[in-house]
Amino acid sequence: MKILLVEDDEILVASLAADLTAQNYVVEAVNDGNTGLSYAQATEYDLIVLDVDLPGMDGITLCQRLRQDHYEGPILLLTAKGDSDYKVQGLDAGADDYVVKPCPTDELTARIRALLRRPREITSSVLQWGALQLDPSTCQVFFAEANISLSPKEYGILELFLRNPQRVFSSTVLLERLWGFDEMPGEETIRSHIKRLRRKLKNAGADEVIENIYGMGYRLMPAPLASTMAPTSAIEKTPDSTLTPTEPKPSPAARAESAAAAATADVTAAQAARTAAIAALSQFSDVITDRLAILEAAATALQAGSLSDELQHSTRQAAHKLAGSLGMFGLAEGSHLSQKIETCFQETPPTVDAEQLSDWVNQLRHDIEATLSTTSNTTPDETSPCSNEAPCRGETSTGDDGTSGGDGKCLEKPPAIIPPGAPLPLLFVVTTNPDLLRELQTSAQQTLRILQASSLSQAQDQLAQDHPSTILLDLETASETHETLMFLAHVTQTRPNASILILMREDTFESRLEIASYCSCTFLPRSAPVTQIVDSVVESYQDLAAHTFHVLVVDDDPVILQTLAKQLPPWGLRVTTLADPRQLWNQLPQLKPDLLMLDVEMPHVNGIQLCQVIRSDRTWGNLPILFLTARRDAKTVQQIFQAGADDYIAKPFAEPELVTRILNRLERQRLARRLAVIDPVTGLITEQQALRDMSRDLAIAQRYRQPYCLAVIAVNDQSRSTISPQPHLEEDVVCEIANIFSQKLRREDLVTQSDPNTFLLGLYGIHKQHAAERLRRLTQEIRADILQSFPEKNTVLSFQIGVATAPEEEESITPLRCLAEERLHLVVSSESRQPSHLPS
Amino acid sequence: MKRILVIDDEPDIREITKISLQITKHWEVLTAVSGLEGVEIAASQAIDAILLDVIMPNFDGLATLKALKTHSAAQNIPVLLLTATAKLALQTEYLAWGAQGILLKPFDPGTLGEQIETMLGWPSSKIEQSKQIDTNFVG
Repeated sequence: MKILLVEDDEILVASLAADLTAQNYVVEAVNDGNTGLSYAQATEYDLIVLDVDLPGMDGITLCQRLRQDHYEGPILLLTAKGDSDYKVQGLDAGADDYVVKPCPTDELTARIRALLRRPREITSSVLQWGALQLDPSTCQVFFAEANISLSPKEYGILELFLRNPQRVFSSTVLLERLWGFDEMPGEETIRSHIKRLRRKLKNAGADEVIENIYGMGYRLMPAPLASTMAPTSAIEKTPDSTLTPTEPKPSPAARAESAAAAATADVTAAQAARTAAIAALSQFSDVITDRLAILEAAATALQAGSLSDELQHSTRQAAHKLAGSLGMFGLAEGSHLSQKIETCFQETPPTVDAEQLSDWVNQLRHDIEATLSTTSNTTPDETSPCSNEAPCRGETSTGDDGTSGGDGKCLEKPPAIIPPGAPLPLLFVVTTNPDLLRELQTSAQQTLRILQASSLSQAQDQLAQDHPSTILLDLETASETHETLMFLAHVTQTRPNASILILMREDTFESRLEIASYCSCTFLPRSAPVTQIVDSVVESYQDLAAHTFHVLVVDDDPVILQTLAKQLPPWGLRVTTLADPRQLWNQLPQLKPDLLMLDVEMPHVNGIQLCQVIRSDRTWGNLPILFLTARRDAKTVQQIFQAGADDYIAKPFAEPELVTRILNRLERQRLARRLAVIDPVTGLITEQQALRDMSRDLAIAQRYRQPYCLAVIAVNDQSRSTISPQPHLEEDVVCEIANIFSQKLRREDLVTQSDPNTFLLGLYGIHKQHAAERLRRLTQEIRADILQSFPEKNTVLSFQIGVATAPEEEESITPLRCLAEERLHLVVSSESRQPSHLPS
Repeated sequence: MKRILVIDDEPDIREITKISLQITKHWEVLTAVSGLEGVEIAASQAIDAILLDVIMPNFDGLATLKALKTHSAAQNIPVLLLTATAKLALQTEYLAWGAQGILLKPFDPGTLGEQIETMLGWPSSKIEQSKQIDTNFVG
């Protein structure tokens, strides 16, 4: 390793060079900037140490020149103490670290060693996995320099895996991270996207990039040997007989690649920490405002010539604290300014006049407010890779109970779980009334976080990204009642867990009845005091909190009970423990657990017997049961599963494994509930649910004299049209069609699959001709997309469409559907060869 | 996983330190709002390192450091000072009392963990991570 020292302090150079040479580094030293540049251009150094204050060319300029000349190695800057400007400028100029002089030589050499440990890739933003590269700045993916064309979702999945090289992502987590809540696809969609991504990567030569982790999800494979990455190369033979294609021994290159992946993760983590720190500023706005108030008081006192010793002392302390903290919130300039104020107030009288101090304080206030308004637009995911409940966009106030900033385990918690220390309940207010908003913000400053939208369309857009615990709708927001009802129907569908509060304009029984038929909500008169609104929100939040997952543990070992009671709550799991298994049966109805954990060997009745009893009960038969036992013999494990257990963990257990297994089991249960209304293959709502929703929408349309169309679309593969009866479409083709329908239809429209080759669509507020035209265009798009997405299948789709409309033709969903199906049969029987047909 | 104790009377510093070390290093972070509370925690729990603020009301950083270094259950825990003052005299006094190093505020939340590792001579957790990848790679 070769190091260049550019420093004019001969004593420092001598001692540093001696230390580094003793550690087997090759050291070259020069004492001015210009010579330093010449040396750096002539020789390749592994690290360069620069003093800021150099004769000839100063260290900052030299650093810039080196980076312009594409020097990629680490640069360590030496600055005199207190030179904050230089530190910032130096880092901006491309330095990797700085050390304030005077500094012990051993600390300096330790910093140098640390910098040399960093792989070079750390300076690059390109994510790498062997020869596979993803450049987030251009959104391009390359393998061995060949471009790979990916869809946005495929790109998103790949980027997520590359940024989290060791993390296992379940399908649900992928859905939550990469799909909007409104899209609501199922697990199958993830499977089909992963499948397509794998196929494209494989075609490009990058095989086995993503692995399946049984029962848990997907994970990025460790980067393979360079020799296995070449598209056509075979596995190199090596003298090591144990080396096989499936068990490659890590080479230095692979280790470097792995280290690069780890470094990339570190860079991401560092950035996440900085972003989370900036986002946390709003939590401390009160503290910072108090400190600013002291500075302002000092400015006023200075102006009046009445600065007391006490106020001078407080001002110095407040400035000191601001200097220490603002920089960490990303306000480096504010930190520097505060340091100046502190320095001025160390003298008596202070060496600053009232006007200058006022200017500085105003500038500080301005910078802080600007950052606060920026942080309020930070998306939750940006704050912490592991944080489940981070500050939300558009937040206008907060208490001091903010994010935990990640727990360090990188296990995703289900969103329904509210972790301890979670932020305050999020209230989403839809109103055009600024007074109401202001009153709410004042009244709920320490109890709620508030988001606001001033129109229903804006609210709908924002709700696609935010997950409020309560939505407060001021009925004065919309002039048309049917708009309000459609909005409420949409909210009920997309945010089923949010409670809805309605501020009534005219509080009549009829209006309550009308709204209540579209959503489950609480009514408040417009005259209700703001405190009542706040109380209602907090109550509904507490109700939600009471529905966090509840784990019941039955074990006669008090140590295990105590350990689980301590380990699980940080994951948002409510834990109840029972030491006596005989109490279980009587306690179940009161405790109503979401998951049961049982030991095998317990006094009086063993866990396997308990499991059998529970499985044979109609009420509790489906309760997830997980065994936690020290018994590992095959016979016991077999008995456990025969009794109906869902999972088994051997004692002693590792906390992350236990938590993963519990969350996995709960996640499956949640999915199972969701599958009752969502088709697992297409991700569309089930036919039964769709018919219920269509009836509801038709009723709204009729009340507001809007047309409603119902369309039945039959899809067939023309390339197989000679086969009779028409074969079912392949699953991935059906998924893609469903996906396009979901994306292209409006929010007020509904689509479901009624049989393997038929889709049913409900179209709100448009007439038959308009609907026919839209569907014709849409089916053409689908045809083209399928051809492009599955070129190897050569699938040419044909669509036959039957449409019926209300209220002109029929007045309820079932007869509308019959009419649409009759028309479809007419078209099918006419056997037209056109891709799309519609009866005139 | 390392366990770090942060002793600082300023809530924002405590929170940012916690956020920084949890996200970048996955360390557990305990916090104390005063020197006395800090000494109590340090003496009763397994702590790998202490980050100690210098300027605190009543029982200040130096008093806390002396208490830590004279307490049999806490004297071997490395202590790093958190300060916005880079006064040499102050550094010398604290180092004489056994502080391992000084972290200047404001620090970078993205690299605080690395700074601590470097100052205390701990192996970088990044290297540990890459070792873990290698292990997975083989097996």
